[in-house]
Amino acid sequence: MELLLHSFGNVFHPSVMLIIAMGVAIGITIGALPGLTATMGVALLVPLTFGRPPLESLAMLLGLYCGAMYGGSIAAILVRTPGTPAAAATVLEGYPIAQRGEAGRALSMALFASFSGGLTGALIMTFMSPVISDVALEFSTVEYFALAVFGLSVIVSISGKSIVKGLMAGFFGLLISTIGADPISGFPRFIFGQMDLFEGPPFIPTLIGLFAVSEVLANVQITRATQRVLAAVDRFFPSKADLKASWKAICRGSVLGSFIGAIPGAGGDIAAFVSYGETKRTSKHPEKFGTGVIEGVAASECANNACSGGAMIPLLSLGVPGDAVTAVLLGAFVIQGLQPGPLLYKEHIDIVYNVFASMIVANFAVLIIGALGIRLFAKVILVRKAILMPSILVLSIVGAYAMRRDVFDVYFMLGFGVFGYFMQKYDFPLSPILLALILGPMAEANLRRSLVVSGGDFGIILTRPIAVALLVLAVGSLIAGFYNHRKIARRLAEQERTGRDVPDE
Amino acid sequence: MKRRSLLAGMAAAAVGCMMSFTAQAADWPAKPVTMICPWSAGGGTDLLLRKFADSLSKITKQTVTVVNTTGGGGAIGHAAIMRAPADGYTIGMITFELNSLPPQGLIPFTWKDFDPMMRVNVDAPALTVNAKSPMNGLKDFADYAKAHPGDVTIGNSGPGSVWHIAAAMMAEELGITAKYVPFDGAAPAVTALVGNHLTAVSVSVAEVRSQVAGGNLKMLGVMGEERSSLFPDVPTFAEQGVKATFGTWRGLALPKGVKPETKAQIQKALKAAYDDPEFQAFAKSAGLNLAYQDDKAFEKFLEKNANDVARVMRSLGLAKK
Amino acid sequence: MNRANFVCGAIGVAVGGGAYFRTSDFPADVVMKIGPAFFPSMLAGGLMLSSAALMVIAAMEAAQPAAPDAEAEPFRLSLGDGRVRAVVTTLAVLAFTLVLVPLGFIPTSVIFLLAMMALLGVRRPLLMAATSVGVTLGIWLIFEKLLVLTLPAGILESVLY
Repeated sequence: MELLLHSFGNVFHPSVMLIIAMGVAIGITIGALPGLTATMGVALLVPLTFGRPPLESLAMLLGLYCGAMYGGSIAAILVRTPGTPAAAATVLEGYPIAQRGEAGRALSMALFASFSGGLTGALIMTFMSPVISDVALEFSTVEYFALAVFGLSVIVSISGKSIVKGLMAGFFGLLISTIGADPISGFPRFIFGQMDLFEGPPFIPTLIGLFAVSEVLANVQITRATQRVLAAVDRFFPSKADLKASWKAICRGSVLGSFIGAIPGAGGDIAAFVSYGETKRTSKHPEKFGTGVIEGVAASECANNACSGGAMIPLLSLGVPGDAVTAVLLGAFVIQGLQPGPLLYKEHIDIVYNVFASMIVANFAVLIIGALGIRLFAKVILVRKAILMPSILVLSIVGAYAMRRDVFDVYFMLGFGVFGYFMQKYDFPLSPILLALILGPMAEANLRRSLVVSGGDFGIILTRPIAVALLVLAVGSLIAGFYNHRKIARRLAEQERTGRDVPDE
Repeated sequence: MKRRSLLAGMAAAAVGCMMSFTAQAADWPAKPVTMICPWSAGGGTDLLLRKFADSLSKITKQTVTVVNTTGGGGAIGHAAIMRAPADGYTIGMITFELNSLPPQGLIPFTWKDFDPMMRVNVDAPALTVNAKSPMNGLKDFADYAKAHPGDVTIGNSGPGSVWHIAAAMMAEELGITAKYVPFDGAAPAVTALVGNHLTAVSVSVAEVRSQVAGGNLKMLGVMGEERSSLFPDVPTFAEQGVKATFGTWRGLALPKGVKPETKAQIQKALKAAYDDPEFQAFAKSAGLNLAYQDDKAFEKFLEKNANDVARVMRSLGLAKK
Repeated sequence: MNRANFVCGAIGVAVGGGAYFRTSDFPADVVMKIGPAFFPSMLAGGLMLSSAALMVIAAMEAAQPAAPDAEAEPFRLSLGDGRVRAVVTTLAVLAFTLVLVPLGFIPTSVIFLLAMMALLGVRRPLLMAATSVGVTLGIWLIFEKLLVLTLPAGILESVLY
């Protein structure tokens, strides 16, 4: 206990706090720039920490991690481009809110939800690591397959007006996720002789193309030189009414996010979509989702930030990274001569406590720096569209290019930009493609790994209770989604007939 | 106006090229050096190369930039190194995949299309099992596999990856049959073994290091030429009567066609960077096993390695017919 | 009949069918029952089914009145037409990508920004010059200096390094 307090004391030292704040500020910037993910930010700064004391290096990187998770929401809300993949679900509600001229409202809720989720994740990590990491280890390939299927069932919830179109988008996304080397046999599928496709469709360029480029293509058509979106940026704390509407979503998202983060291989992107889907499913007015509902922003943002704390759990206690960012952080520990895992708890418990404290401090830093920045960020949409749109294009091109230094990826991005533009024009939802690209490979590879182990026998799935439970949940969520969808269709039809909003039940 | 400045820029660039050309003969490096890494930022190869570049920069007093040209399972980066201008200002890090991609018909070139400069590191795989397993050596493992045919699963880091080939070599030498379960990288395979969902993994010592030290996993044998400096009490395969050695390697190479006198200068600078205590200290703390070979020895090593890999891949059905 | 949806569905069926056809020459896995072709062919089937469903629904639906702005406005081949601007934007990104490596990021980006702003109707040269140079340098600094990710230097190679 004394050691705990002492370690926390070290983190509260002004110089360490300053380093965390610096990490958070860099993280928010990186997160807000489309194409630069939290993973990449941490990866690029890891080499700089070599030769510095462990506390400083880790504090900086953890700050960056938390900052970037929040930063992704800024671009999602303001310019409809998820700054990081984890913010893709935030686009669904955040952007419509900003388009109504209430950017400040969405940004402040995203900040508050990020903070609440992040803090919950960090606290769960501090107090429940050993229990949760034992559960995470129970996950074999069969459970991963079931988890992916469960995640895919969310597609029904994010399908927009037409489930058939949502399913088409989903199947198309799943189909293109099979491009590249087969995960089990290594056979190159659908690559048409392009070695650039060998590792699968490049994810970040696809994301930027579908969301950012398609939006720019739609915008240049209506832009007059002077056109701007009016934005009320009058707050950096959500209003009481918004908080009241969102507290359930925040609680649910924080717990869901922490847990999904703790499962190795499942990260903030999945958590955000699942949390959003659940919030929509349990909402009293699901028909309003997609038009800018504040609890939708809260649900996805708190879940993806809670993931950071969750993902640290298996990293610290098992030495197994919980998501892509923590996989890079593992490298940072190793450079410091520290081996995360059971041994870290035995030999360097002070470092473990330092990490706990840094995560908690980092979340407060996100809240403070984020609040100071909101005015500045929201200025972005006050910029004339004739200047903003070309700038977004340059950022998109660089973001798509920089990951692999490959112009192929820029062409790919442009292709998906045009494709995404037409999808939207004909009312197809974009997010199912994204969800499919994230979860498709996870479902296929893990099912086939399971079958390698079982010698081709599908019965292996029934021998694993967690997997069966997840698959039952997936079916339940699908049925509920369809049922919900019919309710939404009925309400919308009624609204059209009566010409006014139907009051909540 | 715009066109004129464009022309001026092009002229300046041309002059710049000529200047560097004349400088090249006199002294290397006269301008910044680029190093190509065929793997993405943040990975093991990238960290190693970035640290090496720091040391090289310190020694040559020139900027050394690391560029990650990734994709195609290493194919794109290796192709970029091969096609880089042969002026001595682009050096590439070549890795094991340069020998495993050609048999699969995925790249139309081999190590012979490069000028290998030096081998930097070799990491040997280990046969690792869960700590709760009753097995204590390769013999136990072979006995278990023979008693339970069809039950042995060995996790690796991907289809056709270095550790997939390692597992196949192990099985071949031990005379057993096993199912190879490819994961997306070594880390998930190790996790699955910790959760007791596999019989063994065949990944490198560095990749199982923390779990072995933490008492979750144990190594039955190391496939290197000698014991691992991290775990000196784990015997090698050879010590247990299985004579195969294998490992992944990383080295530095130039595109073909660099002038011999420039090459000699580069060689000297690279060796000095390799000997830099800071670089050595980094490799040690990261658990990367440094294994220097000069250009001649490296070429011989590559020749043998390429043949071994091609043979095993054919037997695994991974090679293109 | 809803023509747009019917055509979308037809495209979906075609893409699914094409993918299904391609999976037929994926090698079979000798050990497992499901090889590289299993998932893609199943997914292609799913895409075809859902697309066919869309076609059926579209065929049964009453004809939608065409969107007023699309049909009422005659197509004019001028920059005043939004669709022309969208096509020009697409071509501009294509051009950016083509010259990015030979010309280098900084000149390409400055020229691109100037051209795009002109296309979107900005008519103040000073503002245009200041923003295009400012945005370009800002992005360049973040990538090159903060993240140590090199962007193509192109013709400025000798100046920048």
